[in-house]
Amino acid sequence: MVGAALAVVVASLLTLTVDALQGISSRQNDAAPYIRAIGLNELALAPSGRQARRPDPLPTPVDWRYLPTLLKQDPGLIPLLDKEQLTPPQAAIP
Amino acid sequence: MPTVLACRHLAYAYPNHAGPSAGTPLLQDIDAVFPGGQVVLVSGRSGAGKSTLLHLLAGLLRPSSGEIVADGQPVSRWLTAHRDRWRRRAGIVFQQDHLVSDLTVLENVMLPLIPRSGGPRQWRACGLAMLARLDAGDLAPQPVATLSGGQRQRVAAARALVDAPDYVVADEPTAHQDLDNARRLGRLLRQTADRGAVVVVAAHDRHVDEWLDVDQHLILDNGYLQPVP
Amino acid sequence: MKHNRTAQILWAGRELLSHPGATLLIALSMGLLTTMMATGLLLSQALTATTNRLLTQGPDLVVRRVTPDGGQPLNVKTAAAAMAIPGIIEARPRIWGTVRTPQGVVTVVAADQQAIQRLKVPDAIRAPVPGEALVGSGVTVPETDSRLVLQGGTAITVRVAQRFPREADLVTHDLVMLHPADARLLLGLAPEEACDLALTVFHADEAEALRPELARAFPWPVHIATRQDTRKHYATSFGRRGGLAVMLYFPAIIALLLLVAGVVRQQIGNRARVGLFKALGWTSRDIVALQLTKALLVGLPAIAGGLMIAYGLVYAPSQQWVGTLLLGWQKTSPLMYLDTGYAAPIFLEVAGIVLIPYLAAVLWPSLVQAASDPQDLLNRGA
Repeated sequence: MVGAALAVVVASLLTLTVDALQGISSRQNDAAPYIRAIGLNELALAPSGRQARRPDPLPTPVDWRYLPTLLKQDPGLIPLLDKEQLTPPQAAIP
Repeated sequence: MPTVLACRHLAYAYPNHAGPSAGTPLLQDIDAVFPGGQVVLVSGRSGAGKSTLLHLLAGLLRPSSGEIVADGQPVSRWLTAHRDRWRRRAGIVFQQDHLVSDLTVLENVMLPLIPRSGGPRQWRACGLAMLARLDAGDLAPQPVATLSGGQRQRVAAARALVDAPDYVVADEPTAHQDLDNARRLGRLLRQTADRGAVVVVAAHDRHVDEWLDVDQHLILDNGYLQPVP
Repeated sequence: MKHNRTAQILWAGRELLSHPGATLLIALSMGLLTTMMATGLLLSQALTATTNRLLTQGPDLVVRRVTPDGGQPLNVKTAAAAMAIPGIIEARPRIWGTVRTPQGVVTVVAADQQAIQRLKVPDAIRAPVPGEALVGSGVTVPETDSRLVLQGGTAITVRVAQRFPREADLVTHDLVMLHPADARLLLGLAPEEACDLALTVFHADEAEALRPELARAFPWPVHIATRQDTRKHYATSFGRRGGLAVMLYFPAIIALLLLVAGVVRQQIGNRARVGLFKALGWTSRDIVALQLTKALLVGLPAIAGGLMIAYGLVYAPSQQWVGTLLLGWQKTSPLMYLDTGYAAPIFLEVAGIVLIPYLAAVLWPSLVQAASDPQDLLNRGA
């Protein structure tokens, strides 16, 4: 038991040391060339269309999630979008 | 310098708590000397205070007044840390044995050795040797819960004697033993005294002389310790 | 006498094994608490560090034409107006937007000249031709024909020719890169229109100072966002999520207090045992050393194991729980290659939060008991 306990402690100390010196992941910089190439200033941390995805307080430059004849509402939660069917634009119903 | 344990005007009363015995003096003005090299028997009726006297001698309790003196040092007045260190030289056989139920017999016997020097191999060797002297060697790997009353007492005695203490107090050590095992323990206590240790045994058994070679017999009556004429 | 430390450590282990259930329960509790606390802190630090590092590769400034309704496309020739400002070394008109597919919402971006040049750097990536798309790993495409239907101003169908590598998921997970002609058609932009301008400045620190000049350079109202604004936005967004995560800490703290109370109770219940050990010649120091050794034998591996699990949960690239539970992804989540490093202060902080109360719970009753007379302890523990 003492040996197992010691092994766990040593393993964690080694991980910490390696992490502090050079990091574990060897692929840290792989996303960097793509953000430079694509030129957008937003990251795919949140799904497209979410508030958290937008890097600035203004709406997305072109946002075709809405039917243009309806009032714009921030869909927020993706499940609302999932329920919508893919239909061509329709005239507003008075 | 030969070992000697002495009581000077020793008195003890139960601490304040609810009940008829609260504040009642159990031991009163006891002056006695327990020299090394002798086996001293303390007898008396049940409830006379024999166990309390032995616990005081072993430093498990502080007296209400008076003092316990060991080799000229007033050990009962010492700070806890110093008394703890002095108690390493003492071995006590409890009346209720107080074995640790989640340890084996051998591990119980080894307990006094663990904080000292040495390692598991030496502890095991000493423990097995002492158990063998009390004819309890085959009990070593057993859990304590499987032992009979007499076996438990032998294990408790082995634990008290395993590190060759200078002061031995044994409280009714043969209450559940047959005569052969009692005699075996009696011989061991005799040998312990012969090497210079103080040995004090409390018993109210009338046939003590059948298993123990006693040098001095004291009786505890109404809180006073008197030699038996 | 010389103490045999190794032997006494072994004895402490033996004592722990005499109560395997209680020992395991305490260890698991401490490990779980440690994992919960460390995961939150490591994740917050990793997301912030990763976001900041990646955004330094993006534009320094983004200029967008604004109207009372929101944004409006601008003429690509206005890039020249921006380039005329000293300090700006690149003005890149961008065509991009959010559109729907049958499987969900994606971000569409046109492959301009800079993209074409820069995408050659990673191997086997080529810019899409008309009718083709380069998509991220999270864009779902039917396996039979690899055709993707995009619904914007009009609906177009493109063939998925390539996918971005998964290592780029933090940038491209639900991204669709199209030929500029396809992108304009989809987004309803005229040939000379762009959505906004992405600007690169010579000194990144000058970006903030260029705002007034940029605003004056255009004939209509513009919104200018710097990289700092973007970082603040993500920090606010994470901070909101972090605030929700903090609510998890309340039950964790309560669990820690319960654990401490349980340990104190267990220690107090050990009175008789301590009294016996003292009667057998153990000093106060021996008893406290034993309790401390037992506590460390349980606590240190539990905490170390909890920290290792937290480290793996946060930094293992294959982990998807962050995207699914915290960031809103439903079907697929991007691989999170988060920045490692600087975990040591968090490790020490969490270890202290968990270990110190535990050690105090073990040691305080031990110190009190060790100072008592053995017979008192034996009597009270009976």
